[in-house]
Amino acid sequence: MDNRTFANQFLEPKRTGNAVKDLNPLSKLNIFIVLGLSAFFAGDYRYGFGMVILLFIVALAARCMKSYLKVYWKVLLLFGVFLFVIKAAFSPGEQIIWQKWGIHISVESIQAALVLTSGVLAFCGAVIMFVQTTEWCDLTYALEKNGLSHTASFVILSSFQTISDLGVNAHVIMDSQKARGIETEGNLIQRVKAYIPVMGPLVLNAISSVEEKSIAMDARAFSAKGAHTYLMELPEVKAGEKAAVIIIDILFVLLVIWRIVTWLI
Amino acid sequence: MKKWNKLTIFLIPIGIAVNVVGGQLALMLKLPVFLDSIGTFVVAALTGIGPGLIIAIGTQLINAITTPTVLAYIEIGMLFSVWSFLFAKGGIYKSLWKSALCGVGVAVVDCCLSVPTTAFFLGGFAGTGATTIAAGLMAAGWGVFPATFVSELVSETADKVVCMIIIFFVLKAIPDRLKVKLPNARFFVKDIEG
Repeated sequence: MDNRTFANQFLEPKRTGNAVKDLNPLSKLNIFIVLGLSAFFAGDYRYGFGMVILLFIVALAARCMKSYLKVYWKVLLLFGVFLFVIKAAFSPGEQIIWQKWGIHISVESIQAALVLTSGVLAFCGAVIMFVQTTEWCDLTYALEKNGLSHTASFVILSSFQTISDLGVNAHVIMDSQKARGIETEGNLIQRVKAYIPVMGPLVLNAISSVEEKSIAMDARAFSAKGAHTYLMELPEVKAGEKAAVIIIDILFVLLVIWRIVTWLI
Repeated sequence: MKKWNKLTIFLIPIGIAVNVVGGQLALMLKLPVFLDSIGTFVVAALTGIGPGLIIAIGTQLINAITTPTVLAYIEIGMLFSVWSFLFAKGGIYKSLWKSALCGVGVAVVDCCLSVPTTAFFLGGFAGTGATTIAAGLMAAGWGVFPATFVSELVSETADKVVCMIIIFFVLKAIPDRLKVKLPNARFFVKDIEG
């Protein structure tokens, strides 16, 4: 890539060429939250598991199957398997299938476990999918366009940066403490004792660096008044995208109303 | 947010990061507790309830990226901010014993709030170390509610007591020249007019 094409790419709105990733971050947030919550309100395990499968199809379409599965498999294992087992084993029910030592599996408990598990899995999947297909700077940019202050954007983006910085620091401190003889393995008491000399310096260091940071940011016109400029632009939201978001929202509201009505009657 | 001291704004990302990294470190050392609220307590004690609330919400949102079910407990983290401000105001952080004792108090209130969520929403399954105790008790014939309560109380108490001890030492070790620039300096440094 020569210098001119590199410079020119900043003149165009930011696109990745993928239909899912190029959705406006706010419409994407709206769609995924509604899809996730709808699984709870539907109260039917077929809908919930259907949503889980739909999310896998979306992952394929967005070409992020690998990163999606990397996070999602833990949820699948933890909530898909263990939550199901616990719920199925201990929920009350009449038609008992198998019973031993206080564990009683019944038709009702399996039904309840399926409904709960499918809802949790669909909701978790939707949240994880949103995070996997959205860049944080795009989200904060879209929020700023809708009136969020740039200070809030800074807080959000800086949090992620600080987490990775402190993670590195924690490893450095832990290695130093090991070098001067602190045991990080062994029984529980020893491990708790190792936590304190790592966490103490880490927190103190982070808090005392705050002053330098605020001076450094002010030197870069952080608190300057006036309109801000942006390096990247997001594409305009298309009418079809807006319409799709509104239709999904209306369907969700209808679903919630239907649930409340059937619950009241 | 505008009217806050600039140092306060810069402390918010640090509070969130301390929460998250503290939790990761506890996992790395295979401790049976979370220890993921140190940042909320420390920053809320130094700067007030508002920044603490933002830290608590931010931390839960970031944790939700990998385990979205934590969103169901978001109000508990927010309460930590209020607690911490009151502890700072009441001078609890001046003595190690009072801090540890208040940790027990926080844990009990926590349990009363989190147990209904765990028991009814997730059927006693929180996906943490406490779940194994709860499952054992349920298999021994306990109901979902008491089993979850006992198991969570045990793990919460351990968590909050260790937390409060660390917070006590951290707050004590922060130099006065930094504290005086923060909104709650009057709680920590003598000879300051509120």
